[in-house]
Amino acid sequence: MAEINTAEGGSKKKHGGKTRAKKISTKVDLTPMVDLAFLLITFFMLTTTLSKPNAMELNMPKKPPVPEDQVLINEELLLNIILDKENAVWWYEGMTATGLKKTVFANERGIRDIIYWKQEKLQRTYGNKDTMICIIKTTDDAKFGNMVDALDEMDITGVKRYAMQDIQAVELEAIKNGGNPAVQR
Amino acid sequence: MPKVKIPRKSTSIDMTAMCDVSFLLLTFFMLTSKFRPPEAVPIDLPNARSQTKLDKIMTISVDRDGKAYFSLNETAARAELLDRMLKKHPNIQLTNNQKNAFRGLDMFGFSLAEMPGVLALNPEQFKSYKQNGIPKDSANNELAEWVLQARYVDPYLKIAIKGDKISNIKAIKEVLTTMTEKVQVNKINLITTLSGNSQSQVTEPETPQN
Repeated sequence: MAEINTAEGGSKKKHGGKTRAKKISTKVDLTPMVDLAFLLITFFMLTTTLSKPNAMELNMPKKPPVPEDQVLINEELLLNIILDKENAVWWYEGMTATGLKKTVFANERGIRDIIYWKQEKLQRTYGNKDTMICIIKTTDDAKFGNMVDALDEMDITGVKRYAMQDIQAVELEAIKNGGNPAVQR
Repeated sequence: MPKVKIPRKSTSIDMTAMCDVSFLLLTFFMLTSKFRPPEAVPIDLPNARSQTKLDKIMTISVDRDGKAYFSLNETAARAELLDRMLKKHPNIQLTNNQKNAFRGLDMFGFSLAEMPGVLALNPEQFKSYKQNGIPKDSANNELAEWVLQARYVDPYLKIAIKGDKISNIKAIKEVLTTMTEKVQVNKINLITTLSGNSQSQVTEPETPQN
């Protein structure tokens, strides 16, 4: 492919005894140099784009200035998800924290299936699964990773409306009692 | 009939032009790229599917112990931020050396009261110094001030929270309430890393026909 041309015939003695220096071509094969340059270019290109961090967007609910401004919603649309410190996920439907069930983060048979199940249910009754509202709560000793997992589930299952909220005392008590309501009222 | 002889041409191409171009590009990428600065605290990012890339951000890092750190990428912005903070807190006096030290800090986690002392440390001492985090509770919320001033410096900066996988949610929630209540920002980015297990191939649930 590439060769170095060396000029020939420089060694012949022409002018009576005078020795001439060999004429050597100045051409250098640049192929390896180009290879190297492109390797470095690739490296820099990849490192610059990869150093930008990935992020997920989280929109926090805005507190209405007057309590009367709060939007009222249908209880049936609600799915509450509560994260605790043991990486478990507690969930219940509606507003009353009774009959909390425990599940896990998993691709199958976990919280994702429950979200799908709820979506399906709303699809059947309302004809639109996007009406679902998911409320994510955490106990104070939960881990940040689980919160991100829960938000990721929202992204995966395509839940359009979800929010983070503070946990209620009733729910804390229910979790402590293994999901059953603390006091039957 | 005599064979038609095709004249042999050399296959070697002059690589000089190609070399020029590639080195030009190389120089460009080398000059424009910025390496990731060494991190003051190790943070193990949580996994998520999201692939949104962030460009102009201020980062609030929360480590395992729930301590908050603030970082701005650009040195010029950091200098302006410091000037603004000092104007707000006239009781804190910094020498030029200390100001320069702050400019060089990519990420910091100390309170305003600690600042002059920490900035006076030499690089060796600073490396071994354990930062206490920026106060972020409701009584003394300096984090809100930093974020607010940074938004004055550059209103287009997005706020990103970089939390450790196992950091306590209480600290993260403190940061979140600081943002929503003190800074009045409701849109927050959580920095994550792409998950290793392929969660992306999720099939949509079958919707019942009725």
